[in-house]
Amino acid sequence: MMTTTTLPSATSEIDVTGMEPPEPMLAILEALEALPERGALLVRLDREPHPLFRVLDQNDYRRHGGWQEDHSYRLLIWRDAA
Amino acid sequence: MQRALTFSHIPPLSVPLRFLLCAPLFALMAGGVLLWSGAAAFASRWTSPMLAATHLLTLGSLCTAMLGSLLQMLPSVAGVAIPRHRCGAAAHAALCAGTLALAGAFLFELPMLFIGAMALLAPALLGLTGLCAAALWQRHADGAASMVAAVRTALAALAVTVVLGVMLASQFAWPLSLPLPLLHVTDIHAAWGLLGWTGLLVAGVAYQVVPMFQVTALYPGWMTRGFTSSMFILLAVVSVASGLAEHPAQTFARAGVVLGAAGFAAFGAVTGALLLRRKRPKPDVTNLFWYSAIVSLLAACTLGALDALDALPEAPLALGVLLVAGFAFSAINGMLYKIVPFLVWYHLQESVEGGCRGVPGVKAMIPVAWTRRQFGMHATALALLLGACVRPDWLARPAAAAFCLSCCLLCANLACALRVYARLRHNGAGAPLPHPA
Repeated sequence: MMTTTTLPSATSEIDVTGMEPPEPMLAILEALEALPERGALLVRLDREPHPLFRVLDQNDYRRHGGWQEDHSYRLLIWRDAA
Repeated sequence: MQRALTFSHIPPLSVPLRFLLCAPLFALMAGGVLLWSGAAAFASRWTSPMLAATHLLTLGSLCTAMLGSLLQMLPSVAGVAIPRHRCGAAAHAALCAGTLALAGAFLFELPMLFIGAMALLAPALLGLTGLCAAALWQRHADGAASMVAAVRTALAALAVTVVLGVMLASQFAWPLSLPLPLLHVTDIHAAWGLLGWTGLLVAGVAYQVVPMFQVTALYPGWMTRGFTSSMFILLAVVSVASGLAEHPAQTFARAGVVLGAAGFAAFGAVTGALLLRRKRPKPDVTNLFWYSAIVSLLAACTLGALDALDALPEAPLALGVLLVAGFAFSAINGMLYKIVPFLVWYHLQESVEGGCRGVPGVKAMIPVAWTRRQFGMHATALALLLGACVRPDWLARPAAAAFCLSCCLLCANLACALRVYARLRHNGAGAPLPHPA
């Protein structure tokens, strides 16, 4: 998982908990389409989305995520500025 | 502007599909053997047609689909990379050819076919086991620890099953070469195959896929932490104890069987409770297959715990029907309706103009009414198969015919999703979907 010392602030948020695959990936990809160039998307999920990680890595997105106390997974996604 | 995403890292769809599509095809062959043999097959679990059908179903259908699912799920769910190896395709071919050789060996009682089956199946199964086991030594995702632990025990159980199977097959290939207590070793081989490999793998995978695809709460921690390792140890201990002649060992083994039945019944009950309390109350067809699997498992546990196997002559065959066709095949049948459309959807992302907007949703790939029709036929086949254990003269061929028809419907339904893939991949754009019935 990529790490960074400075995380951008989320400019939009979606909650994909309770969705059945591939609805979470679909919702996240659609939200990323609408994201402005310097925006960051915060996603709340039921699990660590490994298939999505590979897609994000292939398409120059950066990400930072972790498990929360409520057993959900929070993922911040933004586009690499370089 | 639509930003096209790259999905080029994923292996071709054929890699998991070649394993998954074996499930309905080999099941159809098993049904065909029973249809051809009729009531004679159901005389006991030792008849040649029943042994052939059993191995077509357990090896060709269940084992191949489960290994294929593992090769797909370990990277997706546990974040574990399976080393891409051309041996995977060769192992699959050997597994299929070996299963056909073994079925033929049972049907025609030819020692050469047993030798061929051993030569093909042992390296294929142990090779695939080793491939998955090597991958499991990697660091895995935090949330998948229970599934990884379960898969490790299931793979160990598969290795034991294979070794025992080779020992048994060698007795058919070279009679009297090894002084083996055949009946006892066969029972142990079946126990490791059905409860160890199949049961523990279904449980471990269920920890992830039931909450994921059925949108239920997570399995309780007391189950995910200890169930599969406890059952594995119990299976090992009972296997040893049941081979000892002394009365205390036999009593211990019997108690172990009851404990094992209680353990698997608890897994079934917990899964049923999670499904009944899920956030989406209307059951989809995969739900129905899970309910079928759970009811079959609970019935099998009851039969095993009541020590009916020696008292009732039809009980061993009924136990096999419940565990193989009822529990394992029901679970896999239901999961195929989730995995295959998802794989098609995922692999179409790069091919279709518009990305995820141009690809139909997974629920649109196979008409729901058709899947429910297939479930109805599957449930009918199960009931008839159980009835055939008691009245084979009346019900053997109807049961086999119903099972064959159910498998044909499953093949046709999965072909729907594959036709969507073929059409969109060639056209590269949205195309009309099959009209839902």
